[in-house]
Amino acid sequence: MDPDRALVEGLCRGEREALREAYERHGARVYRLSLRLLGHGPDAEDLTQEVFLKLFERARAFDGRARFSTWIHRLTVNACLHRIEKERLRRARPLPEADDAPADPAGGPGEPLERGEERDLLATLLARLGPEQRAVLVLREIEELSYQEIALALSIPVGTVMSRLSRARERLVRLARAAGGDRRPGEAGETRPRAWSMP
Amino acid sequence: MSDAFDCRAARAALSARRDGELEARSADELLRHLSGCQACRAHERALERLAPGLAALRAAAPPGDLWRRIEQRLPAAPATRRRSAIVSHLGARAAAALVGFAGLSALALALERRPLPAAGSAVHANPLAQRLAVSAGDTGFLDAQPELLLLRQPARAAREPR
Repeated sequence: MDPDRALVEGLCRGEREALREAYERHGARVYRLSLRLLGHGPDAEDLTQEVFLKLFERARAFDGRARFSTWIHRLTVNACLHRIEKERLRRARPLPEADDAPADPAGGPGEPLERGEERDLLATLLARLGPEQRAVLVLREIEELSYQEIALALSIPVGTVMSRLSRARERLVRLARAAGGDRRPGEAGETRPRAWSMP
Repeated sequence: MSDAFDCRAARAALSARRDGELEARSADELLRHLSGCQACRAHERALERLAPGLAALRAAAPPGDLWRRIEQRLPAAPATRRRSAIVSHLGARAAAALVGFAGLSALALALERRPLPAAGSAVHANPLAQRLAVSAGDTGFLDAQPELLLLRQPARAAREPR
């Protein structure tokens, strides 16, 4: 049984208290997912607000076929993909894909290597993946959803989850190498050892 | 490569194995492939090195005031808003009606208790006062003014049973 069932009933009645409870249970996840998909804190905050306002407005649309938390994931991913697409159209140029991404994902020459922060680097590299690959990777690696849950959240078959995830990981590895992680300590151009150095 | 797995299949299998989603038979085939493919072994190590960094990304937390910002953007609860509007509308009308009724009652009471007006008094002189007096049942002043009997007729008709 869905642990959020009573919560959904409250939301369907338009109870603000139910929305606050939903935020307490799922707010951090929605924010984290938005942050990793959009790659920008203020955007993630804005999108989290948008998701919970939608949740309040559309709780009756929840049909109970998946868990409520999966539905929230879907709502969040869709809102993120929509925003990314809108931004892409606004800029009138495609988002860079991993294969043709520049070696320095932060924009400034050498900036991520100077920071040397593993988490920051990976967040930046993640933002270089295509939105669909990023979504599947974030849901698996950060939200720790099963393949079945990811399939439900993204409305795609489990087989597609597997193949998309594999390609996303391959690209992430390539990006990390391109960012300088393929140089081992002591090699030409490497100034200090890095935990994320790629073999 | 002589085995059933090419590098592409092997990398998909490596990815699935990381997530505990690889079948036993495929796992055996993967091992066979890895034993003869240096590039895929390097890919496996690369995935292992990325894992802690990806796990570290789970630590992000929303700002403390985010709920307050959501709450501020919520529309007013429709049911409460409608009810309060109705209550306030009805309340204003009820209060107006009550004041009107109290005023009329006080006036009627005052007229009922006062002595008959003398000829030329305010009631005689003021048509509005006469109508109020009629509606309050005080028609005594009409006896002194036969020309105003028309005013008495509707009042009587209203009281008489049909």
